[in-house]
Amino acid sequence: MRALPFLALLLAGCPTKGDPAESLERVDLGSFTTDTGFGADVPVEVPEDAVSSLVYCGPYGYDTLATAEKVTAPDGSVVFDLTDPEATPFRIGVQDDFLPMLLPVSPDLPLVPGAYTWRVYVDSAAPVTISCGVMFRTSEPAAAQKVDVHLIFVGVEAESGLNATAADENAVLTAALERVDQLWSAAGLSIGTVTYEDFGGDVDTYNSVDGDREFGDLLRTANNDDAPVIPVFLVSAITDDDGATILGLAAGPPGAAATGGNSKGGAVVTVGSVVDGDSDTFARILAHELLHFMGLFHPIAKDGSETDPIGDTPSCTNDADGNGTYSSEECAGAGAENLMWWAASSSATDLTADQAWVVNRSGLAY
Amino acid sequence: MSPLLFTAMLAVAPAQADDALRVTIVSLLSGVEDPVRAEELRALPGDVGAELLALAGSGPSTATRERAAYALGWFPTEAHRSWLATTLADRTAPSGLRRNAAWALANGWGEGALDLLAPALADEDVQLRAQVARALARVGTPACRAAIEARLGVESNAMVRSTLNTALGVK
Repeated sequence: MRALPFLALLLAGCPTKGDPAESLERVDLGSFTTDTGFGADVPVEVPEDAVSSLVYCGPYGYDTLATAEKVTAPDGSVVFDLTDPEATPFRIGVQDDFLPMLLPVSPDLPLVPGAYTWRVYVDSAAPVTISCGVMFRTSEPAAAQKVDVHLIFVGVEAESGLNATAADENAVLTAALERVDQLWSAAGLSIGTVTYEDFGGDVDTYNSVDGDREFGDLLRTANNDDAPVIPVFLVSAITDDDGATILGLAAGPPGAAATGGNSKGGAVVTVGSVVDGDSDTFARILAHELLHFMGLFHPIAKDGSETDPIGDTPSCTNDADGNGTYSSEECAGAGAENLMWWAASSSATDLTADQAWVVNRSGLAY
Repeated sequence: MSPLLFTAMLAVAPAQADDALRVTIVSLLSGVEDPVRAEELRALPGDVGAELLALAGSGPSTATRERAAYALGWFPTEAHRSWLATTLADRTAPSGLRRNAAWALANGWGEGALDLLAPALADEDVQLRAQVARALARVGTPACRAAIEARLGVESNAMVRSTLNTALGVK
């Protein structure tokens, strides 16, 4: 049986052999106040055995945005500079409230031991004090790894039949989870333990997640006791500030892995494709969002404004009709077949070796 | 006539068929995190509105139908207004489709759709009531604000009350 009661995860207590938490090391970095340049230097000492580091700072509120301004490696080299954000194989989002920063996000810029300095930019003229921490993964990836997922059903039973009791017997969901395994197999990943929960909060509010604040507030409810599991809320709808429909949304990328109780600690996916009986589409959306959370970006943004830091993902340059959108048709054979393509087309199923390298170093994979 | 049947009839009319255009539109409607933008659709050749109308009624997925309905607001013809109005008022239609119809009416006709949107503030579907409040707030005219304020006086659902209050603070 695949599912275990979520309580079992929480009651598991100290890490045991084979426990994914065993290879995670957390350090409280303390508090930092931004200077007159709107930034704060956050020193991070990377241990010898670390293969990835997730630095996180916050909360600083939904009305304030922050990002990494500069990252300096132990040898003094600048491995990221916001003034030319795609000059190096590192990427970071601009985030409200809570800022997760993952290294590496490309095999072309691996993590090395020693003293890094993360200069965090907070868009506030007034000094802001942020609390920061870091989580290191200290074990090399195995050839085959798993990722645990916690599915939380937010009032979707009437339309989709999904609830914590019936989920394990739901044919569409079961097929979708198996399909995620297929999609991830190229990366040596599979879904591990899946746990289920019926949302215990305000279902009326979060059944439709409207805007960034509701998204963050919903994720904040996933207090998974820092367990290395990805909380995924299944909802009826996600809309942007203009009311337009979004199919799935992950915090980040990258998300604040295994740091529960903050606004960047999970993903939200709509159940429309479950209602349609379309396990393949649901699986591709779920797999896509989980990989965002673990540090993968779109190979190219829909409008071509950004690319990922991955060397072996195709870079589409064909906007043949000149409309400013890199469509799946224009980019056929040049990125549109990648699982991290911006559109949920049925052909978007591939993962590259470099993408696999990144996600297998996530603290969530074991 | 149900809006779904009406659109199905339109969809089978030979003059409306444009397979290449439909494939392009479905592709643009399929962004995972990226909703389609008005300018993307307006830049396409052919009768995009007719294709959207067909997709809104009989598109290949729930998401496609909802997004097509939303996009009809960017092509404000009388036929689209009629379909959106019928869908919004149809309590047997899927909630998501009705919510997107509400946004399309607000985006496409503004205060001119207030007579269609205001009754939906009293619909039994709390998610629809909330989206209509948001959509009316986006229109933001005094008459739309008055409709929101009037609903606030009788609304009992906490989430919808919160949305109505937020809507009044938007503009």
